[in-house]
Amino acid sequence: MKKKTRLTDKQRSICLSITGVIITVLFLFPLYWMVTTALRQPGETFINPTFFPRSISIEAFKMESANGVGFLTYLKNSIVISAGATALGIILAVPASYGLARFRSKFVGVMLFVFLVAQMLPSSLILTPLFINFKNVGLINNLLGVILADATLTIPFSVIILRTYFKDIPKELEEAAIIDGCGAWKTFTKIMLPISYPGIATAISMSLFMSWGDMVFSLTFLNKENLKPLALILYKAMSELGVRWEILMAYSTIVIIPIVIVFIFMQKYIVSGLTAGSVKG
Amino acid sequence: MKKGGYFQKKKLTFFAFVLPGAVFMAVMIIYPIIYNIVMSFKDVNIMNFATGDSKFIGLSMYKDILHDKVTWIAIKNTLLFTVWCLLFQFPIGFAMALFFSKRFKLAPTLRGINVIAWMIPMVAVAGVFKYMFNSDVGIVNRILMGLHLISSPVEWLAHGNTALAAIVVANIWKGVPFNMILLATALTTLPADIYESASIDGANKFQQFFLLTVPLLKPAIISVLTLGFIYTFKVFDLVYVMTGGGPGSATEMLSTLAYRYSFAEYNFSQGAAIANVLFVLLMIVGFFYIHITLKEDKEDVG
Repeated sequence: MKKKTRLTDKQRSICLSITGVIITVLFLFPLYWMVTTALRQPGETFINPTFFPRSISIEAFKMESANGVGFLTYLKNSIVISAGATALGIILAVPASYGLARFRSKFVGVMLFVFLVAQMLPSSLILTPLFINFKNVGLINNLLGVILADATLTIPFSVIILRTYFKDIPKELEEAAIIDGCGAWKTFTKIMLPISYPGIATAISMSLFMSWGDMVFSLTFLNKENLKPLALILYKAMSELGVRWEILMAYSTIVIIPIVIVFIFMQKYIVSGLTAGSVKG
Repeated sequence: MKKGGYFQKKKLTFFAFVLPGAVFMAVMIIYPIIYNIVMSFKDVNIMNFATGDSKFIGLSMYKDILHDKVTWIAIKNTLLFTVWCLLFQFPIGFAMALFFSKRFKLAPTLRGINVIAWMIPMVAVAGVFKYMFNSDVGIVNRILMGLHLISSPVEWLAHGNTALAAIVVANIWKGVPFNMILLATALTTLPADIYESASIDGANKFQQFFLLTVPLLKPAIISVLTLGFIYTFKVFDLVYVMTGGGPGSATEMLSTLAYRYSFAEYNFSQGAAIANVLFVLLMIVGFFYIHITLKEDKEDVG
């Protein structure tokens, strides 16, 4: 071995870390550009831009409303929709995925098939039927309609992740509990739920992201201004505000901030949960 | 206790766990799919959708859309978009997975940070790329002009091919971390000792990659490509926000076309028929994905 020309492990690690940081900075440049544009002075986007804003301004974040509906209303709608769709999704998906992971029945295959198809379903396929049926039962211009529609995204996703998770937990624990006389429900809530919290945390985070970012269901089911969520307002702002890029980027920044915060705290669970759900190592 | 005995006998308990979710899926997914199929054989539109007195017209809606040039443009665009995205996002994601699987101090942190791009809502991704590809103030033109690669600003979103390229770039950006993280996780499961014996046997890095890494990662590679195809093929938000399917029909996808028919022209049956075409094409790859997932699942149980 030519020892002299070789880098020590420490030097190698530093070189790779520097390369890694450069790759990450280049890759995430669009996010940097979004946030720094939002912080620029109005009009600065028209002159040749500098890498750093010439001066920081929070003018773009003022979110004046043209139609009497304030920013807080949009924020509240986003929170109601994503909390509702996530709660509904978790309440239905957690027991279902446990049932599908543990019990043997000829329905397991059929239901798994349905969840897998649902996971890859284009929203356009169910959009028109949902619109017509929602119209007939009064769920148009109703946040509940959007919550139900968003749950069609969150439930299949959660079931597929959580089922893998439950399957990987050894059965011995439950069998011991059942021998001790615990019923199936008690075994599930007292033993399985507490040890499967990382899987459930993944499902909750991803459900929040999906329903927070959904545009197509709220675009189709809501046309009252005071019911619209932020993601939809971002789209509307793009057609209405046109060239006020710093304001549009401020909207985008506000839409992604909650996601970034949740992601930072839940990163460990999200990454492991997602990979377990789609690829087995 | 006999293996699986308890969980095999308790049929009622099984249904108690599964039924609420199953009912929801039946009402919100299966019923709409059937409704959509039925609707595509009728002439449901803005005039009659509330009253329900639409006529049965058989296959004529499908005849109409299959004779319509726009349908074929949308099919071609959706396929082109998907293929271009996969051609770039898979190798870039794979390269990043290989890089961030190396042992260095910041590797896990940086790998995690890059995943954030995958979590950003599509509407925000579309917004920022629309800004970056803007012909007057977009950073893309400014960089390209600064490097003297172009002499005058390119109107990216105003021409068919460049508009398609712009949405492809935006989608690749969101797709790369998905490819990276799934492949990186699979890489960590590869045994280190076979690489040691391979390098003792004189295999160079290149040979090790193609003769060891790729074959060993085959299941993960297949998963990433099929899932990537499915997620890309059903693209809606990105195109709807960035180009609206335009200019003309240059970036019209099956999903945006279905939306336009149903909710701009209020011809619900025509929208339903296009959505069904999208569904059938998607399911060709979808069934392959379901097949491998369920097969893996059976092997796990056995």
